[in-house]
Amino acid sequence: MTEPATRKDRTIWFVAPWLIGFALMYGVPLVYGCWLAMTDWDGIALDKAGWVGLDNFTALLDDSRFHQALENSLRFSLLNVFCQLLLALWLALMVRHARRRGWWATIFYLPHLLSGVATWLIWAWLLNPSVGPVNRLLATAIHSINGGLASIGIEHAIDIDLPLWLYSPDGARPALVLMNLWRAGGPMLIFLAALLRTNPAIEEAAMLDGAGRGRRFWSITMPQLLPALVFNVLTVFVASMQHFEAPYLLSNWSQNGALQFATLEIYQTAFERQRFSYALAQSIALMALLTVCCVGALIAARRFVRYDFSTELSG
Amino acid sequence: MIDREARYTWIGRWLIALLMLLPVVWAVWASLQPVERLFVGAVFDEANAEDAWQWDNYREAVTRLPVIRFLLNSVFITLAATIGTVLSCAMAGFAFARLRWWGRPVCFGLVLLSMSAPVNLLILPRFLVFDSLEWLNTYKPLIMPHWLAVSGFSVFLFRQAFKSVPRAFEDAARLEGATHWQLFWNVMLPMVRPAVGAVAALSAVVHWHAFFGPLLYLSDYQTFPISVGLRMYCKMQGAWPNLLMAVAVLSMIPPLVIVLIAQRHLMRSVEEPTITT
Repeated sequence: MTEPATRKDRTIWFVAPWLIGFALMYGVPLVYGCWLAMTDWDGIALDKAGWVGLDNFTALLDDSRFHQALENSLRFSLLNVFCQLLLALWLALMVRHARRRGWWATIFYLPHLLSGVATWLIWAWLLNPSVGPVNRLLATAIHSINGGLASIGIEHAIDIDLPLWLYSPDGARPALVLMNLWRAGGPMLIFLAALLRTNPAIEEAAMLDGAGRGRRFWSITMPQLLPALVFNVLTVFVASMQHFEAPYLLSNWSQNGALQFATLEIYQTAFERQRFSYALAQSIALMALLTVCCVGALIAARRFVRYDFSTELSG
Repeated sequence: MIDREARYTWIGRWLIALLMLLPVVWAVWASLQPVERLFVGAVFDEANAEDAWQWDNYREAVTRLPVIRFLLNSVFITLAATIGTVLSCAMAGFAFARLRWWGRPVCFGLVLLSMSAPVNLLILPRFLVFDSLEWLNTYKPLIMPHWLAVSGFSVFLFRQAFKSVPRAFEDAARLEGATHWQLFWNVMLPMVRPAVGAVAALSAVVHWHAFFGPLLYLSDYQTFPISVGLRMYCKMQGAWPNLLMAVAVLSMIPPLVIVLIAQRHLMRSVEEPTITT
């Protein structure tokens, strides 16, 4: 087929916006950022910044504050990935055969689309340890159970302190994971899309051969879901590692730094401690770390996962 | 056969759905209560139910800070950024799906790469770029990138949609002597309307909730979008949760409306799994 390349009919006009955007928002920031990370710029006077080479990056190696922040992020991310994906998978399996599938998928996806600053603040109030409804309902439930058991002679059957959620070092990260569970609709959609593309004939054949529910799930559904699982694990992990909004809005002094996550630490280094170059070095180091993790995980997963994307991605 | 076994999952679905809606229901309820009610008494107090529903909370909530202003700012930013996203990403997606040009496979690899870029970590280097362009304290950093197809996900979605349009339509248009632009605008774009709906809805919701960017780029509070405004609200008056909830509820209405309007487009692949390829 011939494509008339008149002056008014250039492909470049379609590609140019994306090309400029990519350069401006990905290329230039990375190069410029790497360059400035090798200076001692304070974020204000660029002409006074001096070249320090790799000093900022070597300083990262024994910056215990940053290491602590990375550890906090990592602990939160691992717990968050596990809990959120478990719920997402369960939701997807429940929606799969529902009669009004689209309607249910929308209901479960809705919290994901609603969540922003407003919902973090709502959750902070729901989980308020002294006046929030969650703890008040828990207290009422424990009280009535204890009352019931006391009438048959068992005193103080349940004698536990209510969780302090965001107001304790141990409860803050689980509280955040709980809040994130509410957004499991995003990964659910990925699981659901993969489930709907599985071949029902295989599962029915296995059923005729007498395979039980568990056996069918592990031997037939799960292998077909693995690509979606890998995708979800990586995206949720990367998103959790750079979680900013919730820790920024919800950290307080009583958490003893439990929500001092990597992105929050970087933000404070740049804008509160005025060490802009060092913050850039932190950003770049974490980016490199996440990239290495993802690539490593993908290579490791190759052994177990069959991807059928080859026709999709060849361009 | 499998359907019959799975029938009883409806109990679980209803339970989870109710649990998921409860936080929003609570926020609406709390926004209409006198503030003392949130601190003492039962959570849902039936005895005093009839004197409740303080609609005045909303009037008071929007006057303490220029909340209406924040909402309008958000509407403006969201509209401008969304229109840009749809237009520029559709053009890029069209180029990746239907035009042949030098370097296309490499560039498409870059699109895929940009889909998985850690955006919150890139924000500091981007801040530098906007600083040297003297774009800070304007809406440009929040709008301009989206007119330049910065969302790799939307480009990818459009590419898939354009790829699924049958070749015959393109050939017919070409025979009539259509230019790239006529082919794109008059023939192809009307055929991928579901993708337009989905990208518009998803990116509108993302732009509405954007927080980190506006927090860094804007310093005059009159220009704040509602997300940053809400944060200002809760720093200002921690003791008035009912008013805070009123503002939170107001800020959730637009995304809710968007989802309800675009529901069919968003869930298309879920409802008719055989059509999407």
